[in-house]
Amino acid sequence: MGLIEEISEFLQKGRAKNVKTLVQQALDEGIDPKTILNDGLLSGMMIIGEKFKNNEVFVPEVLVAARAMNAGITILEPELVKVGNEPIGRAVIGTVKGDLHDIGKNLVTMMFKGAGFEIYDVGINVEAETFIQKAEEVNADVIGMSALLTTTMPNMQTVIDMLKKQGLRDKYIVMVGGAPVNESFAKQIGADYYTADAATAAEVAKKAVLEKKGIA
Amino acid sequence: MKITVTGKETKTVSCRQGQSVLEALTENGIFISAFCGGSGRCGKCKIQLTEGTVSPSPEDRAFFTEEELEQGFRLACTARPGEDCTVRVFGPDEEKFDVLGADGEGAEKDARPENAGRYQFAIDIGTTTLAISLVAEDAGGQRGRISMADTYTGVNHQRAYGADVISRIHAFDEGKGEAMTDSVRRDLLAGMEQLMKKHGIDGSRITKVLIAGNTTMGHLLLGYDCHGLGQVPFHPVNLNPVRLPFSHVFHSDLTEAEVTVLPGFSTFVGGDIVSGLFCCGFYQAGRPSLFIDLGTNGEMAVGNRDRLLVTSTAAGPAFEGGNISWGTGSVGGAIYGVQIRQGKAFTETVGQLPPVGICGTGVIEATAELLKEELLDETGLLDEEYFEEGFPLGETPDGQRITYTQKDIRELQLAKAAVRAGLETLLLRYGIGYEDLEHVYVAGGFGVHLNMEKAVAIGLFPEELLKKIRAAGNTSLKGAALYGQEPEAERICMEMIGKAEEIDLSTDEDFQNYYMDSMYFE
Repeated sequence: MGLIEEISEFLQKGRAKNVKTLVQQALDEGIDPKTILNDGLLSGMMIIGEKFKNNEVFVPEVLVAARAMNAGITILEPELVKVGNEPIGRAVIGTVKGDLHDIGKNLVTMMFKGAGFEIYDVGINVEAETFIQKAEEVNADVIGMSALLTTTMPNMQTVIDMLKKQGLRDKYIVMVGGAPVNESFAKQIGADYYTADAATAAEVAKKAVLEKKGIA
Repeated sequence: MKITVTGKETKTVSCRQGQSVLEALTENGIFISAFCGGSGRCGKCKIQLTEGTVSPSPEDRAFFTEEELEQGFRLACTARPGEDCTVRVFGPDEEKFDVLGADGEGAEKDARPENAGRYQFAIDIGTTTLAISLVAEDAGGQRGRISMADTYTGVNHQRAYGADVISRIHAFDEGKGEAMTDSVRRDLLAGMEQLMKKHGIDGSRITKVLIAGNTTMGHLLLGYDCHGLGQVPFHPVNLNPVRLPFSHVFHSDLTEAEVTVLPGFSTFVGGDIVSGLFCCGFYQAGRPSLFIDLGTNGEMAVGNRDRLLVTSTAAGPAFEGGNISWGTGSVGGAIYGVQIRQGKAFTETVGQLPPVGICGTGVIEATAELLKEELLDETGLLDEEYFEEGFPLGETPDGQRITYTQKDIRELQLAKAAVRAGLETLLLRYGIGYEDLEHVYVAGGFGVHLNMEKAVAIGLFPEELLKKIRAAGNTSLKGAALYGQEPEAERICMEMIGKAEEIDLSTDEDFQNYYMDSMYFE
């Protein structure tokens, strides 16, 4: 097994220490940091995401794999900066106002990271203004909103309405998710995409951003 | 336009333009399962169009195959007919819930209620079911004992507006508050009237009506604004005890008795839990005990006469069969007991009827058995053989296979992790270990039917607590009855509330860690 495959394997098992060591070793051997990132870390995370989507693995496995991914990225980051690696896109992700649910949103941020996005996690109970300000500030491509309560779902619409009012709606790809949300609701409030799970959300976001940028 | 409904019986109802089939059925007193309150998420309100056309919604496409869509399968909540049509309804009869009355500890049945002079009504308004006890006043003369003459149980028809409190609050936000208030009033009046008729008691012999329920149920009964119950920061209108004339609460002159709605702790830990803790004697106990009500909101408390900690944990509807593929409430034909031997399931159903689905206890038993047989590993992954199709538990009368699927197991893992993590966090904050607890009271119908060994096997409760667990029955109802008999009840309950502190688990880091640790079966 090659070094890169080994990194991917260890990541899938959630072995942060091994991932760290091997990423360093790969760098020392002069392997392109982009290759280490894409074919080692991110591809490993995509495999876990796919398995999660199919119910083969569960939340704890995703969390430990993400931790291993982050450990690898930390080692890799200075080198990536040197070679000028651009992320696929930038995404602002948070749970809407009135809602304190965290876990689903965190899974989405991990999957987005795994898909090569730069993530700005604005947290829980997030005001509409905060989503937009952050997106403007970091020049985001995607705004992702989570709601776990039927009663806080309407607050997703507040963000979209505010974007429209400020003439910013078309600038962003708006994605929504969370247990009570569905396709019809997403359409009704004027969001671009709804997905049922975190792994699909990352795939859809990646495709949408590449399309928008005219790359795919 | 008209909708003709076929199924167990045939009935024709009218439907307005833009109205969903589910709404039309509900308005006309036909109740089918709609866990999510008609928002297209749960897939339980399946109907089949046999005449007329309705184009499939995106939700229909998510729940049905192309073939099923062609056969006319739709979700009643997203089907909005534009012409007369005929639909077939499925599923267990929602009217036939196996509701828990007051049997169990602390209650005695008086076989001759007519002999007593005066009576009280004790009422538990559950989100799913209602229970009303006719209680003989001072029958035994012994303080702390209550004499339940008879208990009426029925379905809370507010269920048509959603299975859990959050969907009811959402329905309130959408302007259905008054309809829900009317609904529960009607349900309760019907129950009280039935009990009075049955025992030949007129309104003048009823002295008090005591009502316990969660905060949302109380708010809806009293016609309060529920908006503040649905969003952070939560703002209930009132948590104090409410005493009002019967006519004011029920818009009826069935009796002139005073109505008391029991006080609550908070938005998520309501009067039903105050009543439960009162019933289990937390206000007297020296040694701390634990109280758990296993429902969608998983309310819990730990403490004694000096100090109480309360919380609620978002277990989700898995214990009520909500997001389980073949899940159902505790209705006739629901699988509640499961044994697996040599890869084959042997099941027990409510009322020994042919199986129609799996209820919460069935879900727990099936999981425990699959673990025991090593068909499920400690991470929650089903054996390869059953991964795709699920494990078969039985067959419905019309020949469909009832299966327990990989996705269902994931839902159960989330639910049991939330409860176990809530329990661990409460004990941690209280600063005690399992060995310090005197009793663990598991309240509600769920507790009575739950095989505690199997609950321990899946890690819902730690093994160390097994011998301390008591199925406490409907403690909300029993507590309400006791409240009517104990002159100091209001003071005792208000003192309990004063000593209680609520823990918010959603932002608690220890809870998050316990939650992750508790997801596996190990």
